[in-house]
Amino acid sequence: MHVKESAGTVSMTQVQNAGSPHLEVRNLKTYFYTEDGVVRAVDGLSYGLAKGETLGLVGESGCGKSVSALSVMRLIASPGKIVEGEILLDGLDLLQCSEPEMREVRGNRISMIFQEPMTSLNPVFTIGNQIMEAIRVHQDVSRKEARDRTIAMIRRVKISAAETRVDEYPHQMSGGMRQRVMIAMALACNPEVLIADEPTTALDVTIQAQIMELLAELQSDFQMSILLITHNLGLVAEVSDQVAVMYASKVVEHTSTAELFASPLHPYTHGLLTSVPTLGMPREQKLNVIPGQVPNPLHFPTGCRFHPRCPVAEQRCKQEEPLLREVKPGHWAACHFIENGKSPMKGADR
Amino acid sequence: MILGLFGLFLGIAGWHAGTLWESLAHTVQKLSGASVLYTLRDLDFLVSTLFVLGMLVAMGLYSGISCRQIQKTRSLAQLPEGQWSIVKRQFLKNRLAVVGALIILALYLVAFLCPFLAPYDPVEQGDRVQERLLLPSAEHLLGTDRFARDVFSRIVYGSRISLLVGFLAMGLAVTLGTAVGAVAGYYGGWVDSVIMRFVDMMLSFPSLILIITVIALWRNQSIWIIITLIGLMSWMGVARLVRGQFMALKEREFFQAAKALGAGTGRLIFRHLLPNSLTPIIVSATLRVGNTILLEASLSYLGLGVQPPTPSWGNIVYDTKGNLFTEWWMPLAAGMAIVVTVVGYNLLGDGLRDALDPRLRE
Ligand SMILES: Nc1ncnc2c1ncn2[C@@H]1O[C@H](COP(=O)(O)OP(=O)(O)O)[C@@H](O)[C@H]1O
Ligand code: SF4
Ligand SMILES: [Mg+2]
Repeated sequence: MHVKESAGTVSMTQVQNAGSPHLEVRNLKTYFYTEDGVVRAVDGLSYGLAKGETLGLVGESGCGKSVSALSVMRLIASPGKIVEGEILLDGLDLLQCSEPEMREVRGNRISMIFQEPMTSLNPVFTIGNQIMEAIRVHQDVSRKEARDRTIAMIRRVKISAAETRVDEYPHQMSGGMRQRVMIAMALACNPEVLIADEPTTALDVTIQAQIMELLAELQSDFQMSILLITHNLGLVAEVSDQVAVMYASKVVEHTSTAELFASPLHPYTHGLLTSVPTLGMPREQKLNVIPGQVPNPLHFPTGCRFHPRCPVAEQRCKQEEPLLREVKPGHWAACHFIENGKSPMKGADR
Repeated sequence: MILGLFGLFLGIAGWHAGTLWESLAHTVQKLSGASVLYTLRDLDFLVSTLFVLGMLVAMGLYSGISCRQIQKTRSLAQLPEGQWSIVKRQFLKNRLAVVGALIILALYLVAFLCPFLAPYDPVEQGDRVQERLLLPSAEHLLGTDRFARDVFSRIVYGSRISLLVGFLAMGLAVTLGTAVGAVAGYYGGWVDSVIMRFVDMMLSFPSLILIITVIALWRNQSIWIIITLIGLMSWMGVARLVRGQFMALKEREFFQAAKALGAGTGRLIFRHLLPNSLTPIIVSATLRVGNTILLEASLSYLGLGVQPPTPSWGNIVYDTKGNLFTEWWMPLAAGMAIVVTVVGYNLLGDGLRDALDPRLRE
């Protein structure tokens, strides 16, 4: 709190934290022990989210993005289990916290918003009641004060006529409005980190843009770090500072957004980027499709998990799993054949 | 809306508990042996009059409030339709449900207004020689029984027992079943397995026989014990329902969202799971009230339920056991009363289910 009041201290903290990320995930493994076998939904995931920045976590559907987010919140329920790893919030390992300590973190230091605004609100209470509750979970304030803050919060997420809408039920609101309410609830206690799991996937395009704009604005007001989970590369290009690309329960490439779009090094990222149309791309150029299927987390391929679909795979890829390593300053990737910061793919540097 | 329901529940429960107070007053009167300052019937009149006055005041207040609301709505022009009014509309569209609701309402009115409706005291015995076993007539609508008591009055007063048993036994069963089902559904895992095996075991007992055994062993047939026993034998269905409901709600996104906000067990159960399970609980409770009423009637019919002279529909049938063919209208009237009540509750339950289920709308 004190930090936020004086500009001088802010820059000091930023300098101090330049080396260590605000939220860091190291070698996280979350498995589901199902009847069919062990589903390795997250299996050796690592990334770092710097203070005040936005990290885009991208990957195909089913690659473990949501499970990794829920793992950070420690909300994995049986038959799932966090098997290994570290989740460091400003140096505090969340995996070592007790459940009561974790409840203090949730909603207070780290908040989360979900994909489905239509079902993320409790249908039997008014939205005002729910935002008030979000405040009162962590702070001992009177009803009156909580209500005043709620109305202020509703204004803050740009819902008009806050005084009357505070008493509306979720079913009386549109999807975009509900997502704003979700954001208001998530930010009610001033969290340091916001995890947004596909926050706009269920909304139509114009509303998407408005919500992202709102998030960006609130990010600078609240000085939050945002983990933006999405499968939409366009969104990532617009709003993130850093990108982590996930494939088969792991991060395969992690660097700044500009760098990633300018020179993707991992063959998977390369395929991903050429599979989306870009403005000004020659009309006759065909969209690239990554052949093959997303691997099943019940049994991943041996060696590099991407090798059955990789156009430049070699014998070594089938046996040896590549590690995520710094292939260029500030650019991490997990592929055997990235040398001198050059991708094994021809013409990768677009 | 939830507060309203809760208030309604408390009100009815309060009135039912009031009958307990009546029996307390009765005991006090007996114990003190004092010259009778007031008879039970006087007390009854007092309660009924207060009830009528209360109703009038409530009606006045309600019309005042709704007038103001109408004015407000007009000025706001297009207010989106609240969920409550959708439910009301759906419910009113279902004719049978309205009939059920009216039946139950009428029964409660009868129970409240017993002293005004019943021409005679239900327990007072008339002249054993002259007024015994009279045929139905203008004076005694359903004739008199072996003890020269007016049967019509007894049936009117009998409504109190059935409603009391239905409401309190079900209230107990719902409370117990909800608590047990909530624990099983919230915690899941081995807790759930253990609890649900116990529920299965309870379900496999024939409840009537178990209750009869307990009453026989205990040698106590007070109405409160009967209600407790019926309640203790009726909670399993509710427990299963609540457990299933909790399991399904735990998968919903708003539950995840609440957890992500740091809500603890108490909040999760009482703000998120329970309020969202309320409608199926109410519906199933309403549908099961009929069963508890039938159970009490069966017990009373076997002579193990409510003790005469207190009238209950079950023991009215029991009383005419020997004279079934000559006095067929007595058990018939009492039986009809039971049937109408049970059917009324079932219609009401069905109607509530349809009105509250969003999937069946439009
Ligand atoms: N409760 C669960 N039980 C078993 N498997 C699960 C469970 N939740 C997720 N998974 C599996 O984990 C994998 C990753 O899921 P998820 O994180 O939701 O993917 P996404 O990247 O689309 O968000 C999927 O293969 C999914 O089948
Ligand atoms: S390690 Fe081999 S299979 Fe994996 S991405 Fe690199 S080249 Fe392709
Ligand atoms: Mg997901």
